[in-house]
Amino acid sequence: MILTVKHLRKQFENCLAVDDISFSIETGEITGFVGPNGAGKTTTMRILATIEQCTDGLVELDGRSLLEYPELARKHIGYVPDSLPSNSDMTVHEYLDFFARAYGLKTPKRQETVSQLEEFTNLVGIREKYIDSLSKGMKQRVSIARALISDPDFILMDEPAAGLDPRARIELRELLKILCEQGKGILISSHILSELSEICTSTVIIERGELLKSGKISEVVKEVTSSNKRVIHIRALESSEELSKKLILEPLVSKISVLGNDIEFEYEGSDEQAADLLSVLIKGGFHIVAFGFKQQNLESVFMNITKGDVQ
Amino acid sequence: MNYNHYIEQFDDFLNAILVKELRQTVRGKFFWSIFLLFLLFICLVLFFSLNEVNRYGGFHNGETTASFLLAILYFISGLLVPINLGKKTAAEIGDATNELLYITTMTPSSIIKGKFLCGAVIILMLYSAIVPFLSLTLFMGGVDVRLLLLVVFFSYIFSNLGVIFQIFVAMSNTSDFNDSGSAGVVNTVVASVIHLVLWITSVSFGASFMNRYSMRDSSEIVTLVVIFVIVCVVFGLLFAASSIKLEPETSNKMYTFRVWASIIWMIGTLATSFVNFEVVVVWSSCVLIALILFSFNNQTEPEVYSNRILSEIPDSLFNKISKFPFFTGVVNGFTWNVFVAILTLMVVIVGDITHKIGYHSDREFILCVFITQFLHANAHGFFASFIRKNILKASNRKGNFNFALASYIITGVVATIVYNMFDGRRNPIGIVCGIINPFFIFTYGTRGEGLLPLIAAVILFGIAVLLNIKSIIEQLTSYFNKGAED
Repeated sequence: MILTVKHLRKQFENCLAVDDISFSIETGEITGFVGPNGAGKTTTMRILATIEQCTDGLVELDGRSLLEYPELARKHIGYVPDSLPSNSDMTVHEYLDFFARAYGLKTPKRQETVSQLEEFTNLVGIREKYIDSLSKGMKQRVSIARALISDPDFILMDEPAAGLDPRARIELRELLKILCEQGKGILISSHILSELSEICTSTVIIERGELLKSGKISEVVKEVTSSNKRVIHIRALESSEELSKKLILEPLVSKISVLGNDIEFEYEGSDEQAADLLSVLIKGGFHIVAFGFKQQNLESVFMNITKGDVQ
Repeated sequence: MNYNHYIEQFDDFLNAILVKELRQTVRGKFFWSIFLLFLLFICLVLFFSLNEVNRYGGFHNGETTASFLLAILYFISGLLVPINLGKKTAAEIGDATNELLYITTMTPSSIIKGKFLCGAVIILMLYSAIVPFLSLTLFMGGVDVRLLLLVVFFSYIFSNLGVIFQIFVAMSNTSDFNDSGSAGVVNTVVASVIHLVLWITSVSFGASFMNRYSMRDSSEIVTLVVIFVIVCVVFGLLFAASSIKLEPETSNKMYTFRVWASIIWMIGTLATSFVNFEVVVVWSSCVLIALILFSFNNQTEPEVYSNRILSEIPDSLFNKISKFPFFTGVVNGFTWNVFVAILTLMVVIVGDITHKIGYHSDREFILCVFITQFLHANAHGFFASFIRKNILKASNRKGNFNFALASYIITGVVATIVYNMFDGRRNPIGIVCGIINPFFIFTYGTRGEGLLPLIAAVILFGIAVLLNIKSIIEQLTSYFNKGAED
């Protein structure tokens, strides 16, 4: 199955939250939805979950419009909001049982599903606790369990790792991998890019409501790397002050940063030109211990193409 | 014998929201405080009643005691419980607690059913609790059992009507009154004020009914049956209208509702025409109240048709015209309202002229009330749409209902006070207040004096329509050009 977003726009009172973005996500893939605060990630997700209406554009599930027929999405899309809505006087089990009923599951299928999800999301020990008394991490698990009740093909997760401790993050990561292996398509927004890099196969990067890049992470990294300056890291035996003075004079070098014997700079040249630069430095009497391009990942791509603007 | 299977089946049959709401209700403070207060009042009434018995040495105050008990019961079940449920529902919509529920596979009517049943079950519990105490009044003497049972039955029906009314108004709540909050408060206050007015009206109606009727005449029973049917119809309309609020915005959600409402309206109008004047007044008042609410609700419908709605517009001109009033859209809704209003008035006039119904001396006043209220309500609806869209720059049309309802009530109350302060028939300030006042006709007078409020309503309505004329023409063009574009 494929969930396609075409030219999506959302205008609030004085703010264009989402401006003509297009991308698609497929089942069996984890897509990282990346952007600074206020970029329009939550709005986009809420539109995909059919909670919010868009001003313009198309959202299609296997070619059928979810904006025109939002009821189509109900079985196929699960939504995990950034925070669990307030549900006073309800235990974890009651909450999940309520949503299982709401999805029309009958006994004994309902009891079976709820028990399996409690086990899968590690909620068995706290099933009789009131939701309002749970920690952020536990609430996040409850939210994921709820989103999985209808066994959806796509799961939209809005900042699921925010506020989680390191252990809970690792457990969440493992959970996502299992769901992906089960063939579910996951769109996950997060600020923790290093974590997204590890689990995501694709990415959608937006800023100020505009789409900057989308596609497979490897392709996006390659595209950004080939069209932009690359970062070279050098470690010398002596102080880097002299080395930096030498580098400033090089035409393809910019943004030099020095930290002890380490030096990093942006280089706008080919591999051959980089090799020439190394030989120039060695001939200049510098004792180079390490010289190489810094590995580009989602984090560096993100930093490269976004400006950190919010709206 | 193993009953587990039947218990499971019953458990599955229960509405998910009913189960959840009842669980939460019995754990909440409101339910127990109300229940204890209820028992306390009952004990006080019985204490004073029994004290009277001791003083005069006989049992003869059963009717008074029963009246007090019923008043307490109806105060809690008909006023406090529905208002609290409405407040809770409006708050849930306002703070988005339920938005995850709305994207489940549960149908909108199941959601409303669950909400309503929760209120109905709580009210039923209160009624069950009062039965032993009411039985006690039978031994005190002076109680007409048949009348007592009827009052209990009708007060229960009206309490449930109150619950669905509150749910209907709560469903119109949004988290963005002008896209910046405060809708929930306005919604709750307005809904509570209207509910209080309707509650007082029902109490006075019930009291006058108890005084006048002996329940020995078959025509009285027919009247009661007709009133019961009217209540059921109004209930059905409010239930359907509440469910529609949860239907997808892009769907032609009003179509089925308007078709059914037209059928019910037609049957109701024809049936009541043959009974008596009182029933006609009750029926036409219900139609008027429904039309006023629909006038506000029309403004929550789209001004621009979605592709889904456009795809449902028929190709032939005849079908286009005949289905136009039933489609979802501001202009469509308005057309349907006008259509129903004109036909209702025609039935009243024809019935009155042929002396089949009513006292024709009241005809002019009834017509003036109906027309002025109808025009004012539609004017407030169109004004709300214009102000929110062009001045407050609000994008969510759902908030138009609250805005129109609030402006209608507030203008009515404030203008009435100012009108009376400045002696509206002589002072220019009072005259202006009269003109903008939806309730001007009640303030101005009754017989033979309805023309000025009517002219004022026409002027206001004209201005409101003119302000929205661009979008009205665009929607009409879009509807009738659909086939041509294809």
